[in-house]
Amino acid sequence: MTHLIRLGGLLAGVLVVVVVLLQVVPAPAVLEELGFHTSNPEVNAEEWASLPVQYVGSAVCVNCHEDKYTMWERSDHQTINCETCHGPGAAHVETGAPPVVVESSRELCALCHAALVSRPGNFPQVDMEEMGNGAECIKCHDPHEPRAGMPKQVPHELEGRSNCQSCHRPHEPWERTPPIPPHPVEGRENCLECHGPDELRGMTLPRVPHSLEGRSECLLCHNAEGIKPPPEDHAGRKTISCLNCHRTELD
Amino acid sequence: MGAKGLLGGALAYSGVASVMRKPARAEGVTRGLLAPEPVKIDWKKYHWGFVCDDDKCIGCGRCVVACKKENDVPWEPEYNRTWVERYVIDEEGEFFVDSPNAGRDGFAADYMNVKYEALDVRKSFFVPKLCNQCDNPPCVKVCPVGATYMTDDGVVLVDHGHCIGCRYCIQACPYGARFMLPRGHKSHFGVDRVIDKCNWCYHRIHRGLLPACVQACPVEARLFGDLRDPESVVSRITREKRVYTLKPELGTDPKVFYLGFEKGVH
Repeated sequence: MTHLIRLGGLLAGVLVVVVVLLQVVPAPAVLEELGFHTSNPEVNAEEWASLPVQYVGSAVCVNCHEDKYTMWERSDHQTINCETCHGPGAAHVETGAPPVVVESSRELCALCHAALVSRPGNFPQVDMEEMGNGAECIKCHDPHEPRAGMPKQVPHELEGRSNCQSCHRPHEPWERTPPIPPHPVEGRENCLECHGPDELRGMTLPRVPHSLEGRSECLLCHNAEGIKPPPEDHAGRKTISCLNCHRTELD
Repeated sequence: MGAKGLLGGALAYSGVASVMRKPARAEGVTRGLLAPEPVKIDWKKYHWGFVCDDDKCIGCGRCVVACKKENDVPWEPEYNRTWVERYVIDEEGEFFVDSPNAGRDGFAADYMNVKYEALDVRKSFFVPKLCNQCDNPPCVKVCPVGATYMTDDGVVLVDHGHCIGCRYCIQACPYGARFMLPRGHKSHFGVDRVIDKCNWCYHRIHRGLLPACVQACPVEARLFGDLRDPESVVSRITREKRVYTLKPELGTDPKVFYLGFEKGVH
């Protein structure tokens, strides 16, 4: 019986020595080459951090596309980065070519503006089947300044609310307040002049002094060379929006 | 100048979200010099957080597209680092959840809405999903080879050089945030059939840029910032608003916080 205990003791001793040796002696380099090593998070994290960037941000686009940028940065689309519609710009910026995507389809606009039951109710949505008879949206709406000449109507009741700026504060942006006026408010004290419901809208603005029958294209006559050109600050507005503010005398 | 001052000064970083909302004109950025190099500082001082606002999400899917293009994620809808789910609740209170093409193509196409036409919808909304970068990540614990880990600034990464593709972490993640790169689609590190996941665009946030999905979101439904900076947008929201996390009962301690959260979202 003793010899078995002795043998067992010997084996236990050898085991302890092997385990201790494995801890003390460093693994030979050849094992590392074979892949028997653990991950080094510090090195790997740096590798991840140095991957190339594809979406460069609108702040880069302005360097060449200042005209589009200045329109866009004051428009209702100011929260949308250039690359959200135009695709990643890194290759374009680095080499100048190929150009970024310029997509003009209705489907692109519909991604955001098609009426869906799941969308927040206060987000501007249209029935794509009714709107525009299948024509490209950008024929009337400039994507860089979607509301050109089309002041938005107040989307809520006005009863009991007399001071628009008590909620729509131009100087206190904060993520979840009602929308901030996207234009200067100086000289435009009466918000409802443009944004009010139909009966309040455009009461003091110049009215159309003639019947509109048979005249659907205002700009045919009212242009720089024609009768009563629109004032300078109306640049970029299109026929479709004239009647948003200017009513006929019969109205 | 401390680490924070360095980053703040160099990249106007402290209010990273607000900076990107109204992009300041980038002085000195010219052709060929487009993105700054990754900043090397003590990232232990940062702890990133993410806010998704279900009240704002319009389901356009541009975040999914941006993520795929920025991170070279396979274009097929089975592989996603981020995706958008649509919740529809009918008058009886029954839930319908779907995510056609993972939200990549939006939700506006007719074929995506046919099945809800006959439904009496009581309520419906979109929920953006992505890796929660849990402070107590089950995926890291189960990895048999130590190939996935949490960085100093609290992001869970996968070392593609060590991942053996056993998929144990896919099973362990309660949010379905992980997937395997298909055969033939090599990652930036030259391997396929390894695990990939959202890392909040680790290469962007270390350059002072926002994650691609946050930058691409047209309605500010995705917000990103440093939870240790009391003035960051995520700090302000998590401090001042009622925010929710997904499956809080699991104790994973997620760092994606939801605003406008509905009962029943999981």
